[in-house]
Amino acid sequence: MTEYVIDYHAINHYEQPFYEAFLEFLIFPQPSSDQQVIHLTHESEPWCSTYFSSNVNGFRVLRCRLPAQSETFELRMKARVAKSPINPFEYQPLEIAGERAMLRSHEFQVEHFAFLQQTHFTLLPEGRTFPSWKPDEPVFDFCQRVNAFVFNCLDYDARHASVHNTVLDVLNDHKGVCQDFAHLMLGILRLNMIPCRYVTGYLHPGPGHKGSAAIHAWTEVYVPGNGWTGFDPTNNLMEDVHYIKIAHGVDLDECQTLRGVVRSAGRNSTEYEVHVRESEMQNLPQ
Amino acid sequence: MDPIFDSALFQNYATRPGQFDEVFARNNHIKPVYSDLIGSFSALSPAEYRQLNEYAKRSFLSQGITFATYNQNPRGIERIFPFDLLPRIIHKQEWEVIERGMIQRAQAMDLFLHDLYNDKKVLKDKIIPLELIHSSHHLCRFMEGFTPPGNTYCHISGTDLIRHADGEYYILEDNLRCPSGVSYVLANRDAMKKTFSQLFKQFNVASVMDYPSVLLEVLQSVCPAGVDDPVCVLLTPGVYNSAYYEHSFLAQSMGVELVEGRDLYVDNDFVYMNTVYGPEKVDVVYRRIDDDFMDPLVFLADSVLGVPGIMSAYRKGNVTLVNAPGTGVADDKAVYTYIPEIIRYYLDQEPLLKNVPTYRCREPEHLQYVLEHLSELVVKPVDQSGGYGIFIGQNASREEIEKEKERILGSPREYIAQPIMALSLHATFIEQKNQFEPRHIDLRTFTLKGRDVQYVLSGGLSRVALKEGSLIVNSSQGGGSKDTWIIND
Repeated sequence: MTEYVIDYHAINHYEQPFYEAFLEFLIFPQPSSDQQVIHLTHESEPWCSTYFSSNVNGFRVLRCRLPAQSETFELRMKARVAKSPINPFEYQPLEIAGERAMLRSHEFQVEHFAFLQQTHFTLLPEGRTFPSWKPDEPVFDFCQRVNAFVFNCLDYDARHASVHNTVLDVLNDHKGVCQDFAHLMLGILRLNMIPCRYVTGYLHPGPGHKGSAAIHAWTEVYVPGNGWTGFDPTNNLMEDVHYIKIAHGVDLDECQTLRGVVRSAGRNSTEYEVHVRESEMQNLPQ
Repeated sequence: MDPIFDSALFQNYATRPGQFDEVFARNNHIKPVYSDLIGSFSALSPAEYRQLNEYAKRSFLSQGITFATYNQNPRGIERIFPFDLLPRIIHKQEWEVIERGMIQRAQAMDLFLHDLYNDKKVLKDKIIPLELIHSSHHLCRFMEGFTPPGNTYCHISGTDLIRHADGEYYILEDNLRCPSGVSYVLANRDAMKKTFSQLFKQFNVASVMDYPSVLLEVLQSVCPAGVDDPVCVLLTPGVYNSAYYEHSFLAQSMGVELVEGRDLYVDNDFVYMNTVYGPEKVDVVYRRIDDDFMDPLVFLADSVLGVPGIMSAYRKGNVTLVNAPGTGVADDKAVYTYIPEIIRYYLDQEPLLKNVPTYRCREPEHLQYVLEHLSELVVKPVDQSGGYGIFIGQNASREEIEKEKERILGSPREYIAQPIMALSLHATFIEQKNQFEPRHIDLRTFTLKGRDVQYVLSGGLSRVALKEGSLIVNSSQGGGSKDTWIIND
């Protein structure tokens, strides 16, 4: 087990006083079999009325109704999470023909259609070639090939971050951030009718890791025999113990960290920071 | 020739060959169901009739029953909905078939929607193509794996029917989101009763006045589990909506609060209404706002009409939305063509009401027929509305037909084709001419469905295209309406 301490701190600034503001944060590590949430706290400044709810995919969100007339609103979240080691290569793959038969079966496609259909974020440009799944290629190998292709296709450039960027936008100058890498990978896999989803979470920084200073985005692909398997095209890595998942969805739109309704005459802006460090209290006796 | 043609109001009335007239048979004889009523009307002189007509109009204006059209008068000038005093009559026997057909359709729609958002058997069994459903803009991801109270999605549906030249009724379309128009049915009946109080003693006309009380019963029947005395509200987009009169009328006649999005808020996944006595929990929301505007946290983020957080409250089962979100997928034009199959699939029954026959060009046999009969058909793209891309074969040149063939063959799955349907005619008073003339009509029916409640409003809204020869009955484009009588002799 590896234990991490995650600090999330967001500050919203409001130019003009608002008469109503209702915010939704999707920032909490998801409890799962290999991800145990040991401790979780949150606090806001100024204090406000909050409640936990669920988003479209059932992930936990925090809703905050802000006191009127605030100029700033800060939210801090601290979580302690224990991760079990994952070896992404350790599973029983089906035979190649079996994998293909499963992914191509009508019933399977009906059940996974939401994750097979392109969205406006993932739609690929016409007239360009992208990797295609070869008949004799295991799905896992193909995903690794796409992971490397996307990693090489785009340059990581934090100045290009925009929540509105689609694959069509980032392929113009081949620069982007983690969300763009993830969307391009989803676009290519969906073109090959392989179910895949957008994932957000925290990344514990390793040597040369990109995206750890912010909330990171990667992908999960349905690999027959193994189920949903994480690939990080921003770093050309497989999801491992350093990845702490928050939520998944069809694309960025279903995984936005902060949504809100602010009724105000002025503009507002948000800054946030993320720190993930390995806990010193690890290797506790079992 | 019927002696009625001696009357000044009817002397120039002429039925149209090849078209179905509701009032007169081909030999210019009055149909039995209309004979007594037309007899009473024809005894009036044009001057007397005009006087009654003015009286009825004033009744609408004084009640404030007006509507605003967005496109024609940008200032939003309110007009009364033109009303024709001669009612449309449907015999009870004939009506009962329509009524049973509507209930059948409503049952099938609810089963279909539950299946689509849960087991998806209809897709797995390939009754409906997967791409067709998933390309629909109205598919709502928030409904996945959720069962609304009472298993009801379409609590209120409005279905448009026409009567074709063959005398048969056909369903033109379903409205399963926020169908409107029912307040005009009630207002029309009210105006008729004020104007011709004697007639209602003479004819045994089925009442429509129970609609608001049955609607309230439906709303209460689908309240969240464990609520004994549910608080229901009607959520309106506000006074600038063209149907605002209807919203306020229905709220008032049901005795529930009429609210706007800003009057409601969500806390801890419960919905509350701000009142002068403090917050009050709301259990059922009859919303007259489209899905897209319901919850800015889920759908359109800049919507100010909805209530942020209401969708999570709904999924938690703490509030019921009426109609359920995501019903629009079932009234999609392309899905419409599958409704007969949907009825057979879920109910194991033959549809009681006919769809307009539709040829799907994606199916080779249909495609063959369409290509061979283009001059008799209307071709429509499946994914567009508002009349875009429609090809009408009737007056097309040989060149145009060849071009259309190429267009269809380019992507057959994008097109459907239907025969050209005529709307039946009904004698309608034309003010400018001081006499009755035939005008095209259709019928919007209203069906309610809740837990153990099924109801079809007796009659519905008969809409009239007031312009001579026109087939467009929409109120925004010069349409009017008639009271609709279901009578039992």
